[in-house]
Amino acid sequence: MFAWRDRLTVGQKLAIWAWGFLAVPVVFYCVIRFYPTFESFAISLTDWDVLSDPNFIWFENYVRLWNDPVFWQVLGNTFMYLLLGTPISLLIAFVVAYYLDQVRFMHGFMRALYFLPFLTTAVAMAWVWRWFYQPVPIGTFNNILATLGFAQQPFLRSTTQALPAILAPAIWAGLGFQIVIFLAGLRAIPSSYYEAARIDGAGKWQILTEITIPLLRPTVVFLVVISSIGFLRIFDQVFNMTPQGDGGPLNSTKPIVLYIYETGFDAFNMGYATAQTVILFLILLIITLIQLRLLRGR
Amino acid sequence: MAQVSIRNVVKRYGSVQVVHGLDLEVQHNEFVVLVGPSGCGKSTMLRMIAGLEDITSGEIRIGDRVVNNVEPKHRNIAMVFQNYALYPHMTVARNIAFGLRAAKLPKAEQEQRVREAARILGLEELLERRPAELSGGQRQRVAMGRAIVRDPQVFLFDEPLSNLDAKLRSSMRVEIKKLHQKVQTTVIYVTHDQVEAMTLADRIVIMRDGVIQQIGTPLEVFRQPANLFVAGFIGSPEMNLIEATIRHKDGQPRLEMPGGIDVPVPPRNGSGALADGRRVTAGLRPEHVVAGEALAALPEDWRARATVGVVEPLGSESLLMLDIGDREITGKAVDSNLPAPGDRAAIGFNLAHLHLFDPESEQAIY
Ligand SMILES: Nc1ncnc2c1ncn2[C@@H]1O[C@H](COP(=O)(O)OP(=O)(O)OP(=O)(O)O)[C@@H](O)[C@H]1O
Ligand SMILES: [Mg+2]
Repeated sequence: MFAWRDRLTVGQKLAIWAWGFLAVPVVFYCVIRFYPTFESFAISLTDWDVLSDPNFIWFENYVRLWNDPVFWQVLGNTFMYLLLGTPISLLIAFVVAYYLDQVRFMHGFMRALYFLPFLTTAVAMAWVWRWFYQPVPIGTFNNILATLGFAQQPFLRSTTQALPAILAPAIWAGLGFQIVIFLAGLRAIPSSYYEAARIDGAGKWQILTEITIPLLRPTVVFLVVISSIGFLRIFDQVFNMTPQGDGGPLNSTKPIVLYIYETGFDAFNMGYATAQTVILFLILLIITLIQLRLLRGR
Repeated sequence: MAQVSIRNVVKRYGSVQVVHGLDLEVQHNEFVVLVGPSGCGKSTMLRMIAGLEDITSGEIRIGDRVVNNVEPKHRNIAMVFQNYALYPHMTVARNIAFGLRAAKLPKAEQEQRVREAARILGLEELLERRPAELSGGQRQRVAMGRAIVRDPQVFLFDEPLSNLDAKLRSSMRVEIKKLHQKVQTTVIYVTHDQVEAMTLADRIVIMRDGVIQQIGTPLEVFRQPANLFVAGFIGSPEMNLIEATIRHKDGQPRLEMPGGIDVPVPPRNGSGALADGRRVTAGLRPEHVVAGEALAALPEDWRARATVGVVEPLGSESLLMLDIGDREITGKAVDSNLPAPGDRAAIGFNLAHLHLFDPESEQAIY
């Protein structure tokens, strides 16, 4: 009666089950993710403006991008977020996790404290930080500076200070997640490695550079990729912390996602916005692949 | 010179005491094995000697220095861990040189020492491999290499062979013994395998629940177990331990065992103190409970009859499960002509090797 079952090998049966369960997400991805992605490539070759029918205009949108000084500026801003945000956030997260791992007293409480910002909505946090940056007497930071006898800083009003000022809460928001992942990575290193090192007379520095950091490599790969993607897509903080949400002053904080949003949903220039999206997609893809290759390889 | 003295060492984790006032003197170049069942505190003791655990009270000396509060790295010891603790991202050479880098030795000397250690352990071909590319026995040798390059005064081993299969274990046992002869240092070795302990040790320390039961050479602990625990722990198959009663007959003590067996207690030191009617636990190793040809060598009155339960041929000899009264004991026979299960066979007790223990105190009394 069950003869048909026996005609398949165990491996084939397992494969059938696996694909059975995978079918739902696969279909979902095709409909919700891959189809729109390809659709985007098509739209980026048109002049669609929502109201009228799209005309096919070849690569005109891409040529326009190439010649658009604002696009180059937002691209530069985006990379500033990435190149400052990823290393700084990882360094802070690692240092905090490294010391938190050695604390037994109120360990759980401390970890929860660091994780809390990750649970808070970015919008609420952005507005709180926006306050922090206000001039005396509202802004906390300027109050502290004034009390200590330093000059007030313009922060969000300065073309040079605004970007780091917006980056700070973005780093802060992701820190809890990174710390928890680092802690898990640190915990996974067998304690006998450290004991053997202690007996062999290794100092803190040798243990850190020869044991801890190399063994955390998979954790670092994961976090670099995740946080790079996060910083390349930065939006909430900029939108909520700059006046009119325009990435000012003078576009000095505007990231590519905000520019896409403005082009698409303020100017209704869908074709042009989609072309920018395609570029962002390619950048994300290339950077992720490079990072995986660089950090995985021995 | 590195003798290790352990004096009245106590270890407590919170309110639980796991080592109770241990005393042990290890001589220079001696190979001492700590053996005992799981959880008896062997690893804890070794880790206290290494400095990985603080001692609650007492004193540990290495050489003539009290090391109670000395960091592991300043104790001049090396330790081989059960899981080897080889760094997976480093080559064998870098693993072995780890301690030398820590000591900031010149590059040339590091290389020279690594090569020397690799030569001793037969690792020359493997220096550029990573631990994942080695067999269990090779990893074990790398772990030992990491220990010997530093030329420590004392080697500590924590169950170094327990992850290897039986065959490899016995060959690594020989290698460890050879290594000890080559490098001539004090060794403290932990295992729960009594065969390993017997074959490797100059002296064996048998522990149970954080208390030393007996210290002695392998033959001493085998031939003169100090108490019931040691008698049962050392030797394989286990010693037969039989409840019995002393009965005096014509002024001579005799042993009354279950199944109506009644044999004389040969006169020896301690036999005078055996009062009539005293309950004892008699101990006889399986090789001293014989059947078949071997019977001929024993006096008439050392013999009895027993029902054969199961026969286990091992090749050169066979184990016999024998029922005496409601007790089952193990005997040995070397004949090819064995009694069959169910037979009522003649057996003999080699009473020259009889042990008697007090059932209450569990101490040897004869
Ligand atoms: N960190 C600790 N906290 C509390 N109790 C501990 C700790 N480490 C060990 N113990 C207890 O101390 C006792 C001795 O442990 P130990 O590891 O020394 O045993 P062992 O003789 O090495 O056993 P095994 O052969 O299983 O390795 C055990 O009862 C164990 O539960
Ligand atoms: Mg142990």
